[in-house]
Amino acid sequence: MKLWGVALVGLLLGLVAGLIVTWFVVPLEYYDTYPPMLDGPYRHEWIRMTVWVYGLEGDWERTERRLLNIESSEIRVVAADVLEQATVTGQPVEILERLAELAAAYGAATPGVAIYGQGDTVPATGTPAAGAVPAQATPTQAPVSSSPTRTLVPTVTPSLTPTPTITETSAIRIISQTLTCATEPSIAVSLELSRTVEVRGREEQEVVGLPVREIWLLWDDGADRAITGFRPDLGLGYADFDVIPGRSYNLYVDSPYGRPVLAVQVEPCPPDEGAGWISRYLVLRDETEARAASDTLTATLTLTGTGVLSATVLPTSTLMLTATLALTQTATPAP
Amino acid sequence: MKRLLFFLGGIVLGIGLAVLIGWVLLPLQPQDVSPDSMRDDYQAEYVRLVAVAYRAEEDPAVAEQRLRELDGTPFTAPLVDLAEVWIDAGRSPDLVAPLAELARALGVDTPAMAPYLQDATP
Repeated sequence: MKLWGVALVGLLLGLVAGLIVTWFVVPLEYYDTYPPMLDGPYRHEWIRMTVWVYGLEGDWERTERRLLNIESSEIRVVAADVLEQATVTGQPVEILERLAELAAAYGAATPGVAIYGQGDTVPATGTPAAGAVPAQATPTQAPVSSSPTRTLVPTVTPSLTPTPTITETSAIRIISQTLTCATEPSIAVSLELSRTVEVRGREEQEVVGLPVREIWLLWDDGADRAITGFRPDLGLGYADFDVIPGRSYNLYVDSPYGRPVLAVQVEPCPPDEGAGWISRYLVLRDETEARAASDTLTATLTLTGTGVLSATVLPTSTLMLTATLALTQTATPAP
Repeated sequence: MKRLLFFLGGIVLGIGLAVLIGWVLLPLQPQDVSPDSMRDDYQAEYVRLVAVAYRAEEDPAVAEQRLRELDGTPFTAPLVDLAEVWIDAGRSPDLVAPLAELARALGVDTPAMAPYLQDATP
C-alpha cells in the first residue's frame, strides 16, 4: 500500500471515531443560551409570555429586546393567538389594543388585529361615559312674574328660572328585534351607528358596526360581558351571550349602570313554534351624538312690557349631556 | 516508520475533521434546549415573565409547568430566590409583587414577600 493510501485509512478511521465521539459520546451541549436558541415549544412559551406582559405593561422597548433575533413569522402567530385568547377571556380593551398593536408590528393581519389595532379600525364614536343611558334635557319654563309699566326703565324682574326636566332616555335605541326558537337560547346584539358621510358631494347615511364596545348582561346574582367585534364575519358591532332558560336579564351597553337597554326574561317558545326557548337578536343604534346635537334648543318668549331680557341657561344633566337653552324675552310697551 | 507517521497523521487529521463536523458544522440537534440552559439574567427575566403572565392568564398549572423547566428544587426555588434577591436589593414593588403573587398562588409564602402581597391585593 502506498503512503497516501495509509494516510487515507488513518483519516477515515480518525473521522469515524471522531464523529462517534462528537455526536454520541460527548454531544454538543448548550449553556448560557438565550431565547432564540430555545427549542420550539419553549421559545413559543417565551414569546407568549412576552406578549402577555406587553399587553399588561406596555413597555415596547423591553418587549423588542425580549424578542430580539426571533423570527417575526413565529412571533406573529403567537401574538395573534394571545390576542384571541385575551379577547375570549374578556381582558380589558386597553390590553387588547396593546396586543393588537404588537401583533400588527410583527405582521399579523387577523380579524382581531383589524378590530383592536389602530389601522383599519372603525373608530368607536361618541363617549357614552354614562353608559347606555345618557339623558335628554327637556327644558320647561317657570311662570314669569312681570309688571309691565310705561316707564323707560324696564321693570320686568328677570326671574326666569328654567327648570329643565331631565328625562332619562337611552341613547341606545333598539332598531329591530328578531326572535327565534332554540334549544340553547342566546341574546345577540349588533351595535351600530348611523352617520352622515359625503359621497361625491352628496350627503348619504351610512350604517357602520361599532367594535370594541362593552355589552353587559346582568342577572340577579351575576353578570357577563362581551366586547363587540370579536366575530367580524357577523359584523363589527356583533356580540352574543348564552342565556339560561327562565332567567331574567338586563342588557346594558358600555357600562352596567343606569337604565338597561333591554330587560327581558328568557321565555319558552309559543306552543306552535315547538319546544325550546326564545333567542333574541337585537340591532341597537347608538344615537348619542344625534341626541347631543338635538338637545341644543332655542326658545323665544315675547312678553308685554318694557325692556329686553336675555338669559342663557345651561342645564347639565348628571349624565354628561349638556343642553343649551337660549331664552330671549322681549318686553314691548302696552298700547 | 514512514507509513506509521502517515497513518497517525491521517488519524489526527480525521479526528480534527470529525470535531469540526460534529461540534461546529453538523452538530446533532440537541434534544432539549430548555430555559434552564439560558444565561442567568435570561432565567431571571423568564421567571418574571412567568409571574406577570400569570396575572393575565390566571392559570397556576401553566405557571408551574413553566417554572419546572428551570429545574429548580423545588420548582418554586427560582421564583422565591429571585423575589428575595430583588427584595433585598430594594427593587420596585411593581417588579416584586407579581413574583410574590405567583409564589402565594403556588403555595409559597415567605415573610419577606408578605408586604408585597398586601400591596398587590387589588
